[in-house]
Amino acid sequence: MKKDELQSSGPSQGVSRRTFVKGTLALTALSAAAAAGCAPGSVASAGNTSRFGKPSWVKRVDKYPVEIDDSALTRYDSGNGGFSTAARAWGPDLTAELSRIQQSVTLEGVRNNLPGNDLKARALQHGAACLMYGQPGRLLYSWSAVRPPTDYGVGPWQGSPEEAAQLVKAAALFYGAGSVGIARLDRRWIYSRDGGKDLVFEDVPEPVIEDTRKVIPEKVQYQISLAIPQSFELIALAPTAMSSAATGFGYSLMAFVAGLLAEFIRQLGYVAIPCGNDTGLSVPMAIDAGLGEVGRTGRLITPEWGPNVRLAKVLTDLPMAVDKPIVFGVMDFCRKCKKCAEHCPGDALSLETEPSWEITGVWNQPGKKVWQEDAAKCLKAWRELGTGCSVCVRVCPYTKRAETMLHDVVKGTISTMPTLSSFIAKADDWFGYGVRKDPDAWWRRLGRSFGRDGF
Amino acid sequence: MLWFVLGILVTLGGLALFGWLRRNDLRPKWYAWVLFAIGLLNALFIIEASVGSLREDEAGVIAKLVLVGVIVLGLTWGAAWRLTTGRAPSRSAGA
Ligand code: B12
Ligand code: SF4
Ligand code: SF4
Repeated sequence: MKKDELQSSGPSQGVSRRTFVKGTLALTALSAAAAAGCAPGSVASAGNTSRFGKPSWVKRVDKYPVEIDDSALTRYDSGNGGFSTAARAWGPDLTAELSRIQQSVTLEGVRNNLPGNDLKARALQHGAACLMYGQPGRLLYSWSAVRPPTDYGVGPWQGSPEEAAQLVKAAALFYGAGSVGIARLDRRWIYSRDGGKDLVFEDVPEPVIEDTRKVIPEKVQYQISLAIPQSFELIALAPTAMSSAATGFGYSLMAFVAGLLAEFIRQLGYVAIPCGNDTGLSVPMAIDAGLGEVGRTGRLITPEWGPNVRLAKVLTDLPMAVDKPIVFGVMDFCRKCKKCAEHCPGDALSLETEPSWEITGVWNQPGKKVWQEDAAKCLKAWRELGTGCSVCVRVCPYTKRAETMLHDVVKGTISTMPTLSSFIAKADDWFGYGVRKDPDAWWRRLGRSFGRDGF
Repeated sequence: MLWFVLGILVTLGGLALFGWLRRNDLRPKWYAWVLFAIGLLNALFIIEASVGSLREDEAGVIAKLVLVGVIVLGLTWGAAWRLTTGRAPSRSAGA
């Protein structure tokens, strides 16, 4: 493990005098512009922008700027993902050794009361994740109505696609989504096999899960992507069990929001399939739905909460007006930033400036030019840490609570003046952002309810 | 609330400044006013960012924000002062 071991204080400091002077000048111009309300990023509120539309520095585009080679890209079998295949890369000896390490660091944390990994931290983690254990197709993730829709004698809800989109978005935000977007369902992002079953599209009236197949009706042509913000205060404690509580709570909320939204759509008289991590690739689906851009980590960066969100989706046949993908300078900023890769305890992320077609293993789906992740290395770090890590989320300059317009101004500057990106990435370190906080202090402060401290 | 309090402070400060300029028969050039305004906006921005950082539990950020803010304020208001009085701020401190 390098730069970001458990005991380390976080990102390195160090900005040259030249950078500092350049930055002071930039900040002068920015602060003047911001305070005058004419900054590139100025919006009505520094808080949640999703309810009021996206900030002005976010551009809608017809075509998302990631290169895709359709001759190489085929629907992906989720059984090739890192969770199933990393052990093959490690070999039996290392696999056994990593299990032993994981168990011993977990026990050590609890028995020695290590901050962030003690008994109360583990309890918080497991409590938070309680709802996530609803398996695909079951409980909140049920593929059929939880309460059979009442027959009012009026048939399914009727309205324009715009009205349908408005209803769905209002309901999704009401149920707890941070932001919501709609797109035509691109079948390239639907797994070919998932949970050991073939995923097929057939001309059937209702979705059904059989012994060997999951059948999605042909008429299901829309997807609703949901971003669920995670607790910033807990992610700031990564890579401990406390940050795993943030992700666990995000998983519980995914089931809650997607499950409730699917039931809402069914009660309108349409088919709805709520999905967590199952069924399809959440990142490209969320990109299609205009929720954010992909970053160096291969994860979605949203304008509002950066990468500090979990993603869920609902597939449906309800015809809705669709959203366009958005850009706000993320890929260009990632070329210069590299903080996630530099701090990754597992060396799992690419340090190359440019994205690449070259995959690192069977856990990457070929045919897209992105920064490819090494899932086996990431999971190895998880075993060694005894937690779900999240350091790459913690240190990302986009991971900011929206309590000051400073962040809005900075994100607006990244989007509109990319020449300042290198400076902004260094300044983020210099200001001390992304440093791991004290886990025990979290218990003393009564944080905002429902884990929504950045919301 | 923050902007309400700042609004009152800026208004009172502005009135005091105009009074002082009149008493000393000083008429700043338009570009001195521009520099003054940039300094003022910068100060407001830094105050807003510092209060926000406190809410974000990023107390460590505040010291650096203030450092940058004070430098910018010193440069802009210092230059505005000099352009208006023809003197460096330090020499005129007791005047
Ligand atoms: C398996 C998995 C993992 C595994 C293995 C990944 C792998 N490649 O096998 C491991 C353990 C590494 C992992 C780690 C993490 N993951 Co993960 N992961 C998944 C999961 C369940 C499946 C993804 C998959 O099938 N990958 C296999 C192939 C497709 O991977 P790939 O080719 O390398 O493609 C990746 C990206 O390039 C992108 N992607 C895929 N296709 C396309 C197409 C285009 C055009 C683009 C631009 C991107 C893109 O998504 C893939 C994510 O693995 C998804 C949920 C989902 N259904 O999408 C969550 C998910 C992607 N992970 C998530 C997160 C947050 C993390 C972690 C930060 C863990 C944490 N503590 O929260 C780390 C980050 C690691 C990193 N790289 O930075 C979130 C991302 C949220 C976001 N903001 O985007 C998701 C959506 C889960 C969720 N519930 O929200 N993950
Ligand atoms: S979650 Fe994985 S990719 Fe992210 S910092 Fe940790 S080990 Fe690295
Ligand atoms: S840490 Fe930097 S390089 Fe990594 S995803 Fe965030 S912005 Fe991109």
